[in-house]
Amino acid sequence: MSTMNLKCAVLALVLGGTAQAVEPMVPYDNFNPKEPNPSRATTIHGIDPARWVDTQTGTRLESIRELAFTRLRLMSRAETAGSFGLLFSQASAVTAIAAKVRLNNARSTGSTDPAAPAAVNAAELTGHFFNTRTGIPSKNQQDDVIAAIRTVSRSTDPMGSQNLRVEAVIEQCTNAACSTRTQLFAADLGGVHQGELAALRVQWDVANHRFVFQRDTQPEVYGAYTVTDTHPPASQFKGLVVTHNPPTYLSGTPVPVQYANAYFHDVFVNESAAPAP
Amino acid sequence: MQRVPLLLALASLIPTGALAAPPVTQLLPQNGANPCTFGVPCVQPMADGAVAPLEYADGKKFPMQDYVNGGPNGDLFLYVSDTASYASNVCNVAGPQNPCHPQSLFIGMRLARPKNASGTFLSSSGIVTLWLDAKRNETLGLAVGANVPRSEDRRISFRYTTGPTGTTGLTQDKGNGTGWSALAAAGEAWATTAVVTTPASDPGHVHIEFEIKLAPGLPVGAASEPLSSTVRKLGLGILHMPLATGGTTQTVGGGGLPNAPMPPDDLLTATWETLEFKAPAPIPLSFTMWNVGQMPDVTAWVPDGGSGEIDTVAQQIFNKEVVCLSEVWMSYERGELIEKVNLLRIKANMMPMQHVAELNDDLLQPSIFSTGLVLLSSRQILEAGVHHFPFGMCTGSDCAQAKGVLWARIATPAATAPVVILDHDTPRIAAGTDYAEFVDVFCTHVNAGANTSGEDTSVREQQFADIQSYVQQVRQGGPLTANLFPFEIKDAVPAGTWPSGLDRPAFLLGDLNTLGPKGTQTDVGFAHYTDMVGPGRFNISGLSQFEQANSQFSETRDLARLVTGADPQAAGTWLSPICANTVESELGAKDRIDYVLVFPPQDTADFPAFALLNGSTASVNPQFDPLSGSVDSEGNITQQCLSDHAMVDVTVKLARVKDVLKYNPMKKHRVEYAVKQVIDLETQSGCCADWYTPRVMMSANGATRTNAFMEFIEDQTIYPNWSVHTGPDNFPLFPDLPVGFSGAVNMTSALWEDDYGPDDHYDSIPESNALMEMDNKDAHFTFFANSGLLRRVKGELLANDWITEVELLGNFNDGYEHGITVETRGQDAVTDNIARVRHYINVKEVESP
Repeated sequence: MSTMNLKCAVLALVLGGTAQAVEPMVPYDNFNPKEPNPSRATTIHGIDPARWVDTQTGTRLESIRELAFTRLRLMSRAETAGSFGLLFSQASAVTAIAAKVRLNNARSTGSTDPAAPAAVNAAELTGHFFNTRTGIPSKNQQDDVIAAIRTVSRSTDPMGSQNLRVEAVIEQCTNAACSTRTQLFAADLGGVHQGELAALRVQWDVANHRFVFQRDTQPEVYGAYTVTDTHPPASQFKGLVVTHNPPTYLSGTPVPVQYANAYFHDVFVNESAAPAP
Repeated sequence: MQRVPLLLALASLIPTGALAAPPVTQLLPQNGANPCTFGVPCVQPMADGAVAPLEYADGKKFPMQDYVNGGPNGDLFLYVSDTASYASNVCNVAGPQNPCHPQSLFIGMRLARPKNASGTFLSSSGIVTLWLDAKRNETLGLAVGANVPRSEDRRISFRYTTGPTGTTGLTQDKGNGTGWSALAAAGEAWATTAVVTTPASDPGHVHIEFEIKLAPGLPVGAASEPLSSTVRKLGLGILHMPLATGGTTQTVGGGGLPNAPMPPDDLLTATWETLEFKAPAPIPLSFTMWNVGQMPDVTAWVPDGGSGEIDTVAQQIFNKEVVCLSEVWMSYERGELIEKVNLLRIKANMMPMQHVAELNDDLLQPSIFSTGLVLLSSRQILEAGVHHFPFGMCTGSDCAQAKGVLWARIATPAATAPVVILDHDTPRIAAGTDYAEFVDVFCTHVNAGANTSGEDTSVREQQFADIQSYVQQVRQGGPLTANLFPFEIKDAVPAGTWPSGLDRPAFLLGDLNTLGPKGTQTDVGFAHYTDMVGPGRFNISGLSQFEQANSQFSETRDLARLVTGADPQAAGTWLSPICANTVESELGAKDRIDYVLVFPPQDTADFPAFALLNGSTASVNPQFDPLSGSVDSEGNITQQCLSDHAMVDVTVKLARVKDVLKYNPMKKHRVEYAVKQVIDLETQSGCCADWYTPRVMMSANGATRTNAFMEFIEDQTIYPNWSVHTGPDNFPLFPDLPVGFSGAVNMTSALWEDDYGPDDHYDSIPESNALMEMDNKDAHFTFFANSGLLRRVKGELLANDWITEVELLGNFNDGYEHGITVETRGQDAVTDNIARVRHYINVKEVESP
């Protein structure tokens, strides 16, 4: 919790109240072509291009984006910041994302500035859900609001530790590329071990100006915000990703390398974003 | 049938004349490569007329099949001794004959005796003819005149009658360039002893034994003296012709060498067998055992054993031959690993590995239902099964899993070596796999915990006994007494029975969690290890009768106890979660708990089918991971191996010591057809189909039987053994093939998957465009009894389709003692409901009364 904005989280929990009616969740993809849920009219080989679009930002040394038996696997090894994964092909209709997530392995290696903030590697359900103002150019992501629920590994975790954290965050982009952000909300949803399954959900509850976060069967956590939420986001970025946020590198060897290897399955979305059969 | 030499021959295409070459048998002379010593004495036959099989343990066994009269088969034993003399006390030390006889060929025969109508055995009479081609290399080299008997060749005839007025007569002739002539002088004879008896201990057989001195006195340097250092070959033909006995119901006991319907020709040397006096053709195999420490979700707080993940594990094993992995606890990780291994193999232009593993599409299923084992094979898996230890046979956290044993019956390289057969005088290569050429491999992981006597060791020993029981059931050919609760159907398949594998070594690969000796350490101090291999558990510590009599094969049980290389002690496998790059040099100090063990052939007073050659190798690789380093804030680097267990690699070589039975139309036969393996090819990923079949059909001799197996089996790959067969256990009647049957037997099966919508009829053959769905999707087979040929055929719409070949699989006249198996693969790109199916067809002699 040390890295969290505790005040913000507590405020959100207090203000959250009980859940209001949001769209029910429906299956979107279970990444098992043999026993698809929802069912499909035809057999799909590999990742369904009608439902998913590849995404990657930054550069990476190695990456894998594939069906791995009955799951989606996203693996990335990189020296720079970025994200890697799949986006919903009809992102504008998606207001809620749920999936089962396992971060099998994540670590940061190499020489870093001892004074630098921790390196962060994560597996996320994330998206740009709205923008706080109008009139910005379409590719300018400034003031897009991002919500994410994620399993996180930090370089400050104890040596040899396989203990990760599940976190919920709401952020607002502060520049056109969204490379800088302001945190509107953060909550720690507890520990999880490497390779341990966590059922995660993030859902935009626009009627109550908040996001609903839930891990497994724990009580929902509400991330309320006070910014305007009536404008569409500039970015259609909504999906499943692994992300790297490396520390400051000054000199020396080895060069810091970030690594994340995560699995996703049983993806659900809000009912109105249900895929075509 | 010599498949390995054929494989070598075909490696450079089929050499001219190879098809006409006579059959070859390797017969390693005793006291040659493996000298008999005072400490390890040899056994040699005594030509006393009592043919005890194990007197010939340093030789080879053949069947004697009577293709004229039918009746019970006999046995033929060959043995040859080398060197000019035996030292005293190195041979038959417990017997009366010491020292043994050098440079001699021993021939022993156990031949069926005739019986009268009331079943009483009668006296026998017959003629045994032996043909000896002394310059065999010239015959094989098609030297002018060598195709007929020449002066250095001999024909030995032994006429006998048993009973109170029994008589014998032994004559010897020499070749004359066109035929045979009487010897000019007694000194021209190859010294021969021949004895016939009817031992009271074996009333059903007459025993005939020969000892022939193999030094015919050719000039020094002559091209083909049998035991000359440069050639070491002999042509040998044998024919036993039984003479009619008054009062008998059937003449019995005929047969010969080569074992074929056409007996050796008196005047054509090329029709005799070639004996090569050298080690039998080796059948190489390699095994890998590795506990990879991929821990289950249910114990997510327990770290993996090392830095390994599915990718890095796959990278280390994809090019192995037979691999047993333990601690891949979750189904989705097992599935991903198999996919990853085969992706790497495809990139390397290798055929996919076949596997045995418990796979399902229940992503939330805890490991309590899983052994955590994966058995991978780059060779065909002919049968397979999963066995869990009985519920509750565990201690502590082990009860959060369901440990047990996987079994795979693996086709050796000899099974798939190309075989050229004559199809109406046209040489063709058969597409079938010889089922008889297999070994059983078991993969296990037993209860963890303490190695000091207590609950953990006690439960572990119960598991060892359970493994031994399962291994015995599997090797004897089933049926399984399935341990169903709570493991559903998986422990009950394969259903029914299958050919016995007790006549050959089997291999157990596993993390046995029991400390064992390394290198030259004795068993002292390893009491639980001694218990593990001893009676009541694995029961492999004693020597079988064959091993005691044989001096040429391996008696090793624990193949990785002593590793190959500079430090034979470096056999430790149990590592720490933290590794340094010096770990390889520390293996001698590590404990050893991962094993590759040998279950020897069943202990009988007879030959096994296969034995293990000396010269196995072993290595232990800790799999240090140089990329595993993590650095703390003070710059300390921690590194790991991929797992906290090292990988164990073993190579072995098998040899066939008993030749195979062949199809004999003069016997009654049982025909069996079965679906042995189904592999889903529908998608590149995902799991799992629910398989069943409404139709496994056979039509023979005017009768038809169709079996249905409607209980679903869920998995990506299954080994169901859905079968149909002739025989008296069928109702309505579906009789075996009678003696002299010359018709055809038709077989087919259909593969279906239960689905949410209409069930799917899977395509399992590469052909298409037939008018009828079952001809488009199902494989069809016909056995032609008049020729012994087995073909995959066009279909069943028209009667003619059953005899229209699409693939030639083999000829039972060439052997295929335990059947022919073949994979067919579907191609339906429209529905994508495609599978690869292993079919099995056996034409098996029904024992004569």
